[in-house]
Amino acid sequence: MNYTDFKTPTRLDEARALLKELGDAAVPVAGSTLHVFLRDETPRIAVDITRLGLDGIRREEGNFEIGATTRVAELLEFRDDGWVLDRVADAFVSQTVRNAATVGGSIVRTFPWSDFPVALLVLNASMIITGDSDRVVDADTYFASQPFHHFQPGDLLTAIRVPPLVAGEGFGYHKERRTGSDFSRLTLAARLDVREGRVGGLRIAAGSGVPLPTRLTAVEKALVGARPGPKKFAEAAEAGLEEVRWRGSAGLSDDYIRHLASVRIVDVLTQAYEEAKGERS
Amino acid sequence: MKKRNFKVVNKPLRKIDAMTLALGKPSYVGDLKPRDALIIKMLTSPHAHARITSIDISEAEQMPGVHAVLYYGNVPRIVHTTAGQGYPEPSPYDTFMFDSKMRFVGDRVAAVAAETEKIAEAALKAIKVEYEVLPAVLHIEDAMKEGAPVIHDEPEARAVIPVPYDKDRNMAAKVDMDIGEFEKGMAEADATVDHRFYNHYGQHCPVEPHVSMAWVDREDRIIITTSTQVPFHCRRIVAQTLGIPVRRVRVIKPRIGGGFGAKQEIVLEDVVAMMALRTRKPVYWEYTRKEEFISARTRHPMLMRIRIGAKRDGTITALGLDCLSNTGWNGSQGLTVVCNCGSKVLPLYRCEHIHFNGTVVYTNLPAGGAYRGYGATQAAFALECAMDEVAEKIGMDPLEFRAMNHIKSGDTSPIFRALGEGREGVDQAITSCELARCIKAGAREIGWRKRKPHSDKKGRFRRGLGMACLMQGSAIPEIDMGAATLKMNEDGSFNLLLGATDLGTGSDTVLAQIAAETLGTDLEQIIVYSSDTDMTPFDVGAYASSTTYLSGQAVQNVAEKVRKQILKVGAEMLDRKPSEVTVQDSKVVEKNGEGQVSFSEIALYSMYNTNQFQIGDISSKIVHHSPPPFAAHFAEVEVDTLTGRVQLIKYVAAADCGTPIHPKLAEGQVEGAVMNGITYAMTEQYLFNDKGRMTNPGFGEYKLFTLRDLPEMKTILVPSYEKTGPYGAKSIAEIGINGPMPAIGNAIYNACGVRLRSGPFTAEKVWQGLNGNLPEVKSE
Ligand SMILES: Cc1cc2nc3c(=O)[nH]c(=O)nc-3n(C[C@H](O)[C@H](O)[C@H](O)COP(=O)(O)OP(=O)(O)OC[C@H]3O[C@@H](n4cnc5c(N)ncnc54)[C@H](O)[C@@H]3O)c2cc1C
Repeated sequence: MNYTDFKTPTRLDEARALLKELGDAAVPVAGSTLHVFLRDETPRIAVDITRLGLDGIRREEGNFEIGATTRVAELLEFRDDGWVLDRVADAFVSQTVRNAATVGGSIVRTFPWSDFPVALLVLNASMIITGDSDRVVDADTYFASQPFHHFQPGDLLTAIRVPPLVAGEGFGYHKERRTGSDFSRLTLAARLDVREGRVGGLRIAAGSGVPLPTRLTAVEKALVGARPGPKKFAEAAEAGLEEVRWRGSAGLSDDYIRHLASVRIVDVLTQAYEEAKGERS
Repeated sequence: MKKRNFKVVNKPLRKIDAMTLALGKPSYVGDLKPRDALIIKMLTSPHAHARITSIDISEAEQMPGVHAVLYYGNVPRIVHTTAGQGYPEPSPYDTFMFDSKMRFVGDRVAAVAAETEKIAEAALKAIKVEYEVLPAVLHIEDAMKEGAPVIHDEPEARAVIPVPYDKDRNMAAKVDMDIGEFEKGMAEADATVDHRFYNHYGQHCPVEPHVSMAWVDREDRIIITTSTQVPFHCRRIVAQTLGIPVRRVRVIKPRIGGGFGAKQEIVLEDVVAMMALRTRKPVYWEYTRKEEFISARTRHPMLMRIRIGAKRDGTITALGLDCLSNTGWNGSQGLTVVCNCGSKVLPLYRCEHIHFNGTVVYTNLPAGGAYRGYGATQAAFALECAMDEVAEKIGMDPLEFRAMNHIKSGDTSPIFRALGEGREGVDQAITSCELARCIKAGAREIGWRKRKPHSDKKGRFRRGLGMACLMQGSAIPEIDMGAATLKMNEDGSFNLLLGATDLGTGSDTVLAQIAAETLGTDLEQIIVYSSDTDMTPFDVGAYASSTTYLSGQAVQNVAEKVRKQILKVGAEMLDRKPSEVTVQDSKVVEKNGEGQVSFSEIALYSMYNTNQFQIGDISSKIVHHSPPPFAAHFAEVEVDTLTGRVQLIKYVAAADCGTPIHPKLAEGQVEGAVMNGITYAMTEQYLFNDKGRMTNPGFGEYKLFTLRDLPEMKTILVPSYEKTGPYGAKSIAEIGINGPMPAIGNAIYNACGVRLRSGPFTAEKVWQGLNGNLPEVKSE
């Protein structure tokens, strides 16, 4: 990135007005870590959005409301009933990047290997965008394409609303990587609830190994209403494999990633199921 | 072992540059860059093999802020080697500052020196080049095939020393050794193994990439400040490449941010010097990480055939190793690295019938060079895995099999004489070897007794234990030379001037400890200056595990000479004979305990008072032995048999390095080398496209372990006393890197029955092995 100026508004409306006025010449920056990956050398004015009071995690009408500029490090530290994003934050690169990167910044422009989109998809989160028309975009719509398409100049992601897990629900998350700081080669997340010994609801999604984070609806269909268990999970995983074209990276073949997906789908379902049964702390 | 009462050596004292570095004081080349230095950038070849048919630099030359553009048309064409080795070099002369022939993706096309990096980069874009693309050699297996493209078809390329060299067949070097009758030994065996192994590309990844700067002083001399392991070789090779006398070049080495062998090469300095001459301005060139991966040096990848025969009672009847080494686009260190595959590994086990062949080939890929382990890493992988395979065939515990066969104190090996560094070696008997104790201590720590065969293991996650035994050397006997100068100051302190290069290892501290111990003074009294070709005496530099052993002896010698001078002056001041006094705590004291004079008083007396002279001396050392350090490594892994993922649980390295002069630094060397070897075994991998371009030249995709990935690690220093070394020391810096490939490979086999014969040990390979469809062993 080629920043020519750095503006530090302290109010949301001020920041929005600036961004609107400057249009393409400006860009909102939060943790400003994304520039590591961008080759764009167009001169731009950076508008810092970290002083607008958009940070912090609160309970709001039963949901978690995560301010868009909350640092990933804070997601790792935060504890409350039904909070699971610390597990995702733990897998997020390194403490150095967690200290700088914001959760909002990590879901406005995403990569196949991004961690939060997969988790937010299965948690059925909603993204709150403040603009000329404020809107709440559900995760399925929000992540259906590159999220920055949802934004006009002056629009900002202000918060993420995440329903907490409740009794009988479990969450599973797996990031396949070669080292602790590696990009994901395959991400899988699942949220599952068990009612009367059967799978009541299930959302499962994959990231990396696929171009965009994707719900594995065939797996969901195969399991909802079924009695959970290893055999059933394995059958469902087979169904999931057909749904997506799995892609290898970093020297790992497509075939291997596909195989890996079959194992890891079962793993995250098992994690979520055990947690739903109260067997996993 | 006898306990010795050392005062300074064998103590974990504060590293002498610790505070300077911890406080971030300007120490490295990058810190010293003059504000007005021109920035150098290099245009590189997009093709693996091509000829430049036309090149136009005029537009770039005329751009404002551009001060010079160098290319093959405006610099001297002098053939040389980039290998920083002693003269005459065992590496072939096959490189030019610039050439019209491109031999790999990343080869030098033209360099620009400009006022800013941006201008330099813009100027590179303004250079117009047309290429005739040639067929390329992208696999070692193809290099010597009939009709293969000839990479060095220039008439100048040649070997400098009398060794086999056939550039028309892409052969950069070859070495053969046969002792006894190998085939007979194989025939006598009850069990044999015969397998191919492949060692993949790997990079040193020093935190500080290659970086160099130069300027021309008022006497018209070129002053190069550079991150190098070999300042004196650098001076000689730069002078040769530019066609100027050595006296016109001065090389200064400040602190270095890691080298691991990468900086035993002249990678930037020739261009930096040429640019300084051309522009008459200070110039600065620093590799990007991408350039470091592609255009600096790598570990020589090797395809190896290992054959071992053994009797049921555990006697090894035959040992054979054939190495086909990929030296890439130039032959730097090719011969000597492959020699070490034989000489630093095969003597480890007693055997009468030994066969060794090393063939080094050119390819159109990144060049191999010196890299910690230097051939021993490659061969140890093949040998130590094959040792396990033979042990299994004869039904012996691999630990017992090794313990029974390994070389011991007092033994010799015919290999020591047969294989040197590009020439015949030197006979030697092992004078210190505590490998047996290393094996015992390591086995206890890892819990070897609980090891079971893989066939007894069940369940998805299976644990396994593996081990490897290792040896290396300490300096190159009868070749390498080190020297040190020591002089005394008025306050009783000493200047120790070293040609030896501390590249972050702490060798300045270690050498100062040796000086202080010998002089009978404290470490704080030793002021070290290293290295500067104008100011410090000659030393070959930091390589071949030589600094503590070789330069340490030069320091010990000079300190002994200076101590004698001090005793003489002290005795004169006390009106005694030198034999009646001794040195103690920075003083000369009468043996009967009556009188004493301090070092400071002695210095003042000799400078200002009577029989005035400078207390000081210079001493050189060439060694006649290369005593091997020994080590036993143990790994515990857990394999996920559904995914093939390998988790390294614990790693134990027990090492015998003689007396550790600085135990903490020695431990650090073991841990660093082991970590280096672990990440090479587990994740490091050069990925190439079908045109020979590396596709992952950055830490995002080329993965290194960080502290976060560390398994439980245990380092055990098992002391011995090497009587030929300074205060009983031998080397420690390289050996540790050789263990992880075989120890982890053996542990994976013990966990799940999958034998991996090529690295890195990716989950996919283990998975393929578990399904019985591992591809055949071949190069990347
Ligand atoms: C070395 C490295 C490795 C990484 N590895 C991973 C990984 O494995 N997994 C992973 O998930 N992430 C990873 N990341 C982080 C990730 O890629 C992003 O860099 C990071 O999440 C961006 O957060 P930020 O706060 O720094 O955003 P910024 O860089 O400040 O902004 C990112 C983008 O979003 C826009 N933006 C930011 N906030 C808002 C907002 N509130 N409203 C509207 N637009 C906004 C910006 O204009 C910009 O286009 C890695 C980062 C680095 C540097």
